[in-house]
Amino acid sequence: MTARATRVVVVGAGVIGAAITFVLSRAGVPVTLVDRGPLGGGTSSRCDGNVLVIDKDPGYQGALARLSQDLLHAWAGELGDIEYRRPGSYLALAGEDEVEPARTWVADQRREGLDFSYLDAAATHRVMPDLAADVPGSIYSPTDSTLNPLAYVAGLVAKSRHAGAETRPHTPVAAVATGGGRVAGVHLEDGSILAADVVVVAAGVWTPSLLEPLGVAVPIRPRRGHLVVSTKGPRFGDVKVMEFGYLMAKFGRERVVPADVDRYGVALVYEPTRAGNFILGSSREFVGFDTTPDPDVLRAIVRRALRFYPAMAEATVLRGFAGLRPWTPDHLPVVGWVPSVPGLLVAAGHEGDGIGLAAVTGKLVADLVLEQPPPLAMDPLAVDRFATEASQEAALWDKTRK
Amino acid sequence: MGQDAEVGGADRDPVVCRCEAVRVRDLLMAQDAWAIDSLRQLKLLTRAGMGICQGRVCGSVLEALARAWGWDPAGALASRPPARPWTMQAALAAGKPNGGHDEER
Repeated sequence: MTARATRVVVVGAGVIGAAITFVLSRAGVPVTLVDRGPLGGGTSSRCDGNVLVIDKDPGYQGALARLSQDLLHAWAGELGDIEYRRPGSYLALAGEDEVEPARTWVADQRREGLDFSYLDAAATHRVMPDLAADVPGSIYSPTDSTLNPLAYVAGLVAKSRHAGAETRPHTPVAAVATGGGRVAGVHLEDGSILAADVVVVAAGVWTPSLLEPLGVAVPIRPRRGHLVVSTKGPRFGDVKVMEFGYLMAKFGRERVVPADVDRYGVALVYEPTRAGNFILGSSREFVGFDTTPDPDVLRAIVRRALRFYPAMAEATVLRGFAGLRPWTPDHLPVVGWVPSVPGLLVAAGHEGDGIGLAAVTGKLVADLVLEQPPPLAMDPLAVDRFATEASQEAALWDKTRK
Repeated sequence: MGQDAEVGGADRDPVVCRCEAVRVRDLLMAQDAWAIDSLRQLKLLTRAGMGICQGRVCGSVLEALARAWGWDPAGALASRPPARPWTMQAALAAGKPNGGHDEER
């Protein structure tokens, strides 16, 4: 069987599944995309539209994000009106003690070939005149882009259909089907089987529930994040701004912030939208699968935004909502074959970077299916990279008991 | 499609959402342009129901259209906090006093 004759079922029609379906279908592979709900109905419609490299660790994580930006830039023109723009992004500093770590961050990123720059106070306030006067500097990344996430999903799906992909929203998958020691397709909840040679589980935070029955453990957990949306009205600049302080932990420094900002893992995200509103984020909590917005968290996000944008006090908040990031312990997605189940692929666990990393994930998964060399090493994304340590520990435990 | 003509009356392309200036035609065009299969998607892609009234004015019309197009509208226009637009200053003031650090930075 040639790779192009492989029948593929992709489970999960979020941005990751949509991007995989897009790349595979355009390569001539017969793909069926299934989802238990509407297209993009999960995390992909409860998130911001950031496509960032500015906050990635220098090295592999940055290279992965950068590659994804270039792929998206090449696709954007053919996906319809997905509100794609490339305004670059900034990390604003909250205090003088962040200046030195920020300069180090820029130097490390430049060493990796990324075009970061450090802006002193004067340059920072020239570009972002609405920032609080005591912000001592900022970091700039010119390649960072933004889009409307659900439009991105819809555009990818529309183009996939055009290329021959079948899409089946509102079709719950009960389990991955196996036979003869390999993947056979998926069992649908209506009792039927969708046959396939390759099944890609791209179900974000819901991925572990599909893998567990196969004895495959992937430590993806839902990490809730809130966003706040303003009314249309005065905006506070056309560029995307986040805060550097959240990266301070990487330098072994403690963040000095109000208690609720600390408790809910709040860090400033300011994203102006094309519609004329702006979006504020962000928060991080492990509270299971509950997406009911919590007013205390929304308030902490507002408090943090006012620290950087005092003039926002008179801006109007319209609504707040929450989504679930598929978190992994090392903050890298899980993309690769499942060694114990031939024909089974996983592409999930992108945490807060699903929108940004969808393009490169689509490319990597397609390369695996088509048996083409991937553009970068995939070991850091391997499905069994977590299992290694855990199973070694378990083996050791068995030995000591004996 | 049926029901949109009744909703629209004499106007063949009535405004559905005033806040975001979305007409029936915009809703139909969006369905041609995108893979849309739910009211929530239609809302997010056209912004109908996402303006300052948060769907209070257009909600019932959007739900009627969704049913006419074969979609279950349940939950698509669920209200989100705050219940009414608030200035950010007021949103903060309404909260309990914040314990812990006084040193804000």
